[in-house]
Amino acid sequence: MRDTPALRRWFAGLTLLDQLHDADRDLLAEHAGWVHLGCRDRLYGADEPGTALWFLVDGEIILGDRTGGVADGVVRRSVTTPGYPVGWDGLVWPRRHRWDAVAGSPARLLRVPRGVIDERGGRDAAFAARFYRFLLWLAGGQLRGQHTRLITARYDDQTDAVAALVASRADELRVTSALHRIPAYLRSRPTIADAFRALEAIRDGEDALEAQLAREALDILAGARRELRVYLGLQRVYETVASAPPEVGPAELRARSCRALIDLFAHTEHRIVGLDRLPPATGNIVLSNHLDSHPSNRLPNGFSLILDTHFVSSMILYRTYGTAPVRVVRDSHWHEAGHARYYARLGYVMVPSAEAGAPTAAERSARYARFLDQASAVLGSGLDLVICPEGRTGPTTGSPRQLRTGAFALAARLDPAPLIVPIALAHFDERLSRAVLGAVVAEPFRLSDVIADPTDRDAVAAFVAEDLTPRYRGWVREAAALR
Amino acid sequence: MSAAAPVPSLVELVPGAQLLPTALVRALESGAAVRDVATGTVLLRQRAVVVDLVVLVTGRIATLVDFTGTGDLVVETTEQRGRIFGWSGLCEPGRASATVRTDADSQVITLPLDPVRHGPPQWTAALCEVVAAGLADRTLALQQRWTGNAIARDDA
Repeated sequence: MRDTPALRRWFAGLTLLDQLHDADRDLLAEHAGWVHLGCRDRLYGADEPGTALWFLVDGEIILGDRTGGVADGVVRRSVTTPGYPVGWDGLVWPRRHRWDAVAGSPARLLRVPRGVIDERGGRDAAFAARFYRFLLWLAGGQLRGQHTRLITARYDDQTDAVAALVASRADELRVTSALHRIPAYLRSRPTIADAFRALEAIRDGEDALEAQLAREALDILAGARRELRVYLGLQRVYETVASAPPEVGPAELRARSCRALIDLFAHTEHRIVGLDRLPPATGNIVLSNHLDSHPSNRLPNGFSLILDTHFVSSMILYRTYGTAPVRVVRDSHWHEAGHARYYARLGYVMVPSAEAGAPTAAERSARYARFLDQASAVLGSGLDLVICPEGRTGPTTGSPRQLRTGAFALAARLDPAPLIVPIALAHFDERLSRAVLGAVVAEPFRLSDVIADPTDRDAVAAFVAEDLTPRYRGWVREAAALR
Repeated sequence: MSAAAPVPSLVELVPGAQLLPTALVRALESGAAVRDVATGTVLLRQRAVVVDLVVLVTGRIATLVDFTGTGDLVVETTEQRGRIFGWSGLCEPGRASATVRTDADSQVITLPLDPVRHGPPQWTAALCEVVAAGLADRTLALQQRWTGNAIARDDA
């Protein structure tokens, strides 16, 4: 729905467009149309004719070559400044785009067709002069920013790079400029969000030099901003579950958790292959290899959300079926209050942790019977059951290490026999904001398809160790290679 | 710097210059000077007022940025015939954003900006478009060179 007065106000408030007259901004507002992009959606490609100028409203646009990947600030540049014009390179000779433009997160833009600008420029040479001088200023700013990034890329740390950027212009800044405080804010995690708020306020302020430095700093900090978004997303996922009102039941909490996770993963790069192999209905045993959690995923209460299985639950199963699965999770250790607070609410099938010590044969038997009852009930109710047969986490390289046979013994005892769906995951052990997360859904099978007698424990163990495990490692390698 | 040969045609030299109005090309060429300059000659000084555009004909030009008081750092070099320097002379406040220096014995053309500043607005529009295109190409070349460096480092 167009709301021209609101668009006029929005364009009028953009200090970036100070060089243009009020009537010029009104022209843009009157002809601007909304464009909504999902993460990784393409806005335009290199060599395509320039048909419009877009103004970023919110989200992130990555400009760079067609190889994809996250913005590194040099080869691929991130644009996050609201109001920043995108696609100007297609409006200057030879009027074709030099770069690909892809959404780095869900984004909204306003698109002004090139024809509108050309038509007004043809009638009003003064407008044309203002407009193309504005494009030249943008082009110069982009080249100057590229020079800065080439220098600051030599710094290992983005905070050091921003500190150097501010120091480089310190003699031109007011002594009271808030920019002087930014490096200190960035050095402490709890105040990183304050640094971004301050930079955005400076960027939108009236001091042209400060605004330019704030934009360059925000460009340099694109990776840190993505990390902040992921971190806040992790907190939201945790709070969605742990702080839910007591009357909310496990099924509803699992669904809410999946939705919060989908929002979180929208800020990451991920590739999924083989969704078409998923069975037509739920009620399956879904296997996942289990990867280490990156230390940056640790919440203030010490709890680390291990995101591989959450990815399977939300991005693969919930998005496909609209139903959140149940997972098999180990009991919390005595010191893991955060873990206990989170998993206690979700109605998962819990299995003893190693901390419980070596059980007696009777205890083991009783626990196993309880596990079978609970797991069978989940599958019998038509829900998917997600199991990590390794029982412990490890790095992507060489994953899975050793698959235990419990999940297969469970499958062998059920009638009707459930489908087993292996899902291979890669790179969840890396920093989420920089990794390209990969997932491969392999062909589902029933145990009776691969073993003559599924109740033969030796035959199951041989199948798992000698056949399935090497193939699983191949699927993980395939997931790791997705780009 | 020393005056040298006749001015090469801007239309042939500068990518996109065929877009410029004929009268503008004539005005620019009438004030232009071809100069042979020795290695190390500063053509534009960062923060100094820009009065001419500089177009590379032959040789090599380096762009340097003064950063954190550590001195001028080379951020770009080019041998690309037709590259234009001094874009900031067309924008407020009209001061150079970087230092431009010859990195080898070179031949350049200097184009005074006064005719454009005092000419009709369509001259400004046309010249800004062509210069902006050159800046976009320089940015792209820097990105491509960086990619090449990254590959070389991986192979080393």
